[in-house]
Amino acid sequence: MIDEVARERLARQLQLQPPEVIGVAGEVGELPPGSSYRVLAEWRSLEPRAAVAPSTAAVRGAVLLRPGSRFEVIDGLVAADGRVAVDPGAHVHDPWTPLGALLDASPEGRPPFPRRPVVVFAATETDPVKADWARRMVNRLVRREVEGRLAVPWIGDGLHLTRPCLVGAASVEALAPDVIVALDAGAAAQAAQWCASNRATVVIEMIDDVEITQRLVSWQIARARGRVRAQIGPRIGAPKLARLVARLSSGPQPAPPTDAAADEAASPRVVRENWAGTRAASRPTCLIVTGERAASTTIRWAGFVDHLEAAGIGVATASAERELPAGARDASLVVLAGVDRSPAITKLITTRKASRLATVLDVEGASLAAAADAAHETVAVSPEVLRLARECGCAIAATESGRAALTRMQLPSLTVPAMLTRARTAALRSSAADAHVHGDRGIGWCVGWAGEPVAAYVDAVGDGIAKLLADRPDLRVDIIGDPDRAPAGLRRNRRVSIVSELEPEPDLIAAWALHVWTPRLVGGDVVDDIRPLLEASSAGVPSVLPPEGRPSLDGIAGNKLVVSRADEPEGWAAALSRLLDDEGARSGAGAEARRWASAVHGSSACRMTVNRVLGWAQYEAQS
Amino acid sequence: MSASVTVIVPVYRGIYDLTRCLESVVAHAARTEIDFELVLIDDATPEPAVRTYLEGFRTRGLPFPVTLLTNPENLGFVGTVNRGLRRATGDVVILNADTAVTAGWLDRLRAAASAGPDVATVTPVTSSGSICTLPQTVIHAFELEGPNPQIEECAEFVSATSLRLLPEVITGVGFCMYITRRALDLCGLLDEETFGKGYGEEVDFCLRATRLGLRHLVDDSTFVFHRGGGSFGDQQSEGLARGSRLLDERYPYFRPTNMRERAQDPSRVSFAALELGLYERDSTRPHILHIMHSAPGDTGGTEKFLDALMRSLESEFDFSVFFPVPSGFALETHWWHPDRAKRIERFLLPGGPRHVTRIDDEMAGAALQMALDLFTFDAVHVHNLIGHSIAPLAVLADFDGPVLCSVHDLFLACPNFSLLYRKVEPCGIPDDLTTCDRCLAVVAEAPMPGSPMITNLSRSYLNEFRSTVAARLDTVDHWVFASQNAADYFMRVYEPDPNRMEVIEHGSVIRLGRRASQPDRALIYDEPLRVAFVGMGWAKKGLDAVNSLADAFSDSSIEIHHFGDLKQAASPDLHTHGAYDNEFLPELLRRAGIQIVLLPGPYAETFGIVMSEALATGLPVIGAYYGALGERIRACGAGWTIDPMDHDGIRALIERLDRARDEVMRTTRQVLEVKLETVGDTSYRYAALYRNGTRHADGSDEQTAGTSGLAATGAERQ
Repeated sequence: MIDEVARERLARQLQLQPPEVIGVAGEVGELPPGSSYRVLAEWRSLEPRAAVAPSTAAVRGAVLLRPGSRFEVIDGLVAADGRVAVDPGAHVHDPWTPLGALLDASPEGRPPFPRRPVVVFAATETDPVKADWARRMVNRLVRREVEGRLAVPWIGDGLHLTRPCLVGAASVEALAPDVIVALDAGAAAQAAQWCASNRATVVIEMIDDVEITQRLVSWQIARARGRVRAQIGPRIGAPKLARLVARLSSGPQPAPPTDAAADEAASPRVVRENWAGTRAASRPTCLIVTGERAASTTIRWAGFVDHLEAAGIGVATASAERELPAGARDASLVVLAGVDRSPAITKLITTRKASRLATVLDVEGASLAAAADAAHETVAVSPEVLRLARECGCAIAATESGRAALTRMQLPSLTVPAMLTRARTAALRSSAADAHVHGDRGIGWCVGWAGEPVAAYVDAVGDGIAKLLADRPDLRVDIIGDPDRAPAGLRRNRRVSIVSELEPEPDLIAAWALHVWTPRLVGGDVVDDIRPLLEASSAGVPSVLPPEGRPSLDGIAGNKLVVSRADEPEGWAAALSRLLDDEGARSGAGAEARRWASAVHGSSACRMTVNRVLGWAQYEAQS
Repeated sequence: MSASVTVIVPVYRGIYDLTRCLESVVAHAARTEIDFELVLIDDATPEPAVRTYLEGFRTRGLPFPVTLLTNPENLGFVGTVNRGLRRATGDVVILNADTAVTAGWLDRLRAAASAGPDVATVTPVTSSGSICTLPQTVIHAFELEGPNPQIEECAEFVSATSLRLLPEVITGVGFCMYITRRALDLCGLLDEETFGKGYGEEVDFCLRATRLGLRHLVDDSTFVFHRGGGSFGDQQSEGLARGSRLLDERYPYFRPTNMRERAQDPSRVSFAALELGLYERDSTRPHILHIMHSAPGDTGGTEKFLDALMRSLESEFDFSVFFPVPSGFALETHWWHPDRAKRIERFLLPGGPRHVTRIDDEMAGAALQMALDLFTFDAVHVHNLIGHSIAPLAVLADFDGPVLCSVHDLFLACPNFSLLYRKVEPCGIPDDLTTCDRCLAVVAEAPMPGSPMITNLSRSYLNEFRSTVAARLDTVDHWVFASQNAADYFMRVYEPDPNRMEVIEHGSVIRLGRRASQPDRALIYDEPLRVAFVGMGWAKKGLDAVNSLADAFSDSSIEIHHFGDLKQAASPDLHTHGAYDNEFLPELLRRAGIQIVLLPGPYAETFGIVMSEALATGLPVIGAYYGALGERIRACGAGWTIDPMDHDGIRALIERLDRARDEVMRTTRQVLEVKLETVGDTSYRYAALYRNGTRHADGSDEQTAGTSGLAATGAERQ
């Protein structure tokens, strides 16, 4: 028999083996007294993966082979036609193997990952009928997420999924069972004494009344019978007993607490001495190496740097165009942002790898495009960027789609969404609080900057807005970005202002009634970062967006904010028009957007992100 | 003169006000049952129109005697009233000329004055009259400060809505003061010599009466309009200042007493009832009263649950929430009105400015009774009686509709409801009460954070507490538990009727549908193990254990995080994120890269809302082997159980999980298969209990809600 734990481990081990290894085996092992095959499999799974060793002979156990591999089973031994590695971390059980002598239970009889309750069926007398009933019940319980154990003076024949142990205080103490089922009067009389050191253990009495399946014994104060909580008859089924055990294992504890824990809690703790000290010396450091980057990328990294500083992490930036600072080799983390491959960069990466330090490439949205030859359009990373990412060994992206593209390339990756600096967030929030200006300026739309890819549907959005301008003589529109990227029809409209500032004034944003978010889409996924959405939301301005953008708002975008298709001008015009006429809906959506921006992208959340990036990168480098 | 009551109206100027006043007396005279006379005293008015009107009024042939007296020269208010008082032989009403009386006014004032032989004065409620002034909400509702005050409508409303409590005050108010003959005989006239033309004289009169053992009442069912300032016009402020000074000299204790009275406001209950009465409810919608230990919207699992429950059922039900506040009790209405707008109003009900700590607190009982009297409720749902005492269970014994009690914590089993022995270790509710004695001594000295200070906590207190609850168990028609385990703990102390016990899991209080369909392999295998403690950062929830872990893992890649308010010091190695927006917890946990949620509190949870939030995020949990966490973890295989007292054991488990990421992966997959429900999904079961639950007064009534067979005893036969 092989437990799921061992089977999964073999599968993962096989993936890690070189092609010449055609299989990975787990050998049949002996259970410690008072253990089950599943619990032993769990303990074995703690073995390091590297412990796998090549086998020189046929294996007695289970072998997971690559598809098409040839093998034979002779006399219970598996002989494969090729190299097989044996993993000591995968236990295989033979339920018919003769059991060893009855011994006191091992502490390894308890699961290393406690979840399933442990139930000891205890008997002091030799009763073959009862012992066989208990053996079968234990086997059935093990299959029902209950760790049944036999603590008996005599072992009967038959299939065993567990190894019985000697009955007595030593076994009970080692197993610390949640429940003891006292199979006879002797066990019932001694059970409380056996588990004296464990105040949680409860007792179920087995009675010889075939009419009774189970009967709860009141545990009400003054009526309770010590640890006894129930009686069961021999006709109880495993499902019912499993439910009863699960219920009784959850308390209340039958024995009172002692003063030891409370006294200890009241005593001073030496371990807290180091709390007063500073650990500046062990603070991580980060270097951002920048190259020729688009304007929007500059802002992206300003937020990251700001939040690194807020987290107390030493951070510096350096240009890849110049000589890198000496600290670049030793910084806890180096991030390459907008950097091209070069001998200097390759040398830096190599040096740092040797010191097990992480160098991470930031894969910008501009580096993502549709996969040219895929049957279904998916996001792909440009080859040049991918090469550098492979050199680094890991990369980060601003969107989930970017991360997915990297994962498909077998590259460890992490999503690092856009982060506003604390000052920018505060300014936007402050402007949002100024109710006088809110909604005065109509619609805001960020069309992006020169050098950045353009969303395929911007013309539809432009036509929709143009229609709206024609229908509404009072409407004004602010377009943020390069004038050349604004649709020509809108550029000529005197009610359209074009603001070519990377960071428009917060008051300008807060004055919008609505924001139009038009991220680039590839294969149905957003590939641009959420910065414009985040800025508008921080200022309390709701955003109208394509359906593909909805997940970016973590489910808070109501139907009114989402157009049915990104490429239909009428849809954009209709959605915007409806919202412009519905101040209540707009106000509600604005409040929701502000709440979302604050909760999910506020400074606390940004600190989580920088912490995660550091932890992940260091873990990758050390692994 | 033989009239039972003499109504004295001193007149100086203001024809408009005067006309409105006297015409109101005429308008309501026909239906006044007691005989009265009207004495009009012209205090040498400078306005000819007033003189002409008064003369005409006297000769109109009204159905009650009218006497018109004219002062040869202006005597001022006090002298003028005294002139009338000297003529009266029975009770007297001093009525300012800038008032307007309303239907039944005199009969009701008279009835109030007959409330006891020691009543000196009775003052109606009004639009402008010191402590008798109606709440601003009522004044605004009837436009009493506008050009067209709805006087009759207001009077009708006050009469219909009043609780008729006749609150006692330290002085009456002179705009319309009913004075009994007994008071006049004992106290004499107003002090004309001291108070001259007015202001303070009625206070002086009342305080003299009080010294003689007489009382002053407010008739909270009678409204008399008072414009205010009409009698003296511009001289008002000058008169007020002078009267105030004179009172201070004569009664140095008056001002502080008066301030105290205003702070406590003896009429507040009456006025709260009127405010509540303003908001007419759609009576076709069932109305449920929730009894809580804190205000709706406060942080806390019960509050979150109630908020979600009310939102889920608001299409069918109206709700009110009754809860203690520092100055008494409050009732907050959550009603949907015909205009489909949700109306949330909060009203103050009586109570002391203190925490209720007695077992049976009369004030708490009276406040609940008041709430029940104010409105018709179709069902009462008790969530938590902390801050109420056990008195509500006595009050609710006479309630006509079904009474539900959700056991959110085990306060009813022990006032130290954390069930932590000496505030540290789970007690399991011991048989041996000497254990409780040791524990309660510690808790009495310094209770758990969030618990009231009960200085006399002891074994005898506990015995009496439990006996009181046991005697009132039958008040509750449906005991609702969020887990089987909560019921099992409850049954350690009590033996409720099993047919009245039901398990309804809470469901998630946050939106679902936010977890991925598959575990994030990269997160589980390729990142440092990150374990997050979510919840209030204090010992009850396990901060001590978390600090130990953070210290222990400071030199490893394992990260211990905390989300929530910190109430105690945290290890510098704990990644603290502070308070968070609960609705976005899944996004934050994902953002931080958390793989496991740790709930290390030794407190035996009755459900574990945070566990539901972790499952909604798709994360496995580590929680106590006992309580609802243990029950739920075992039931769905969604995590691992620990002994919260065994910090080394918790550390060993986390170290093992760090080494065995397959186990994390497998358990995460298990979590993603757990079927989750929101509070909204389970709310129909509460709705059924509200709608159909029946009383069990004689033990034979039909039980319409589901039963679950939670009996602690009884054989089950195949």
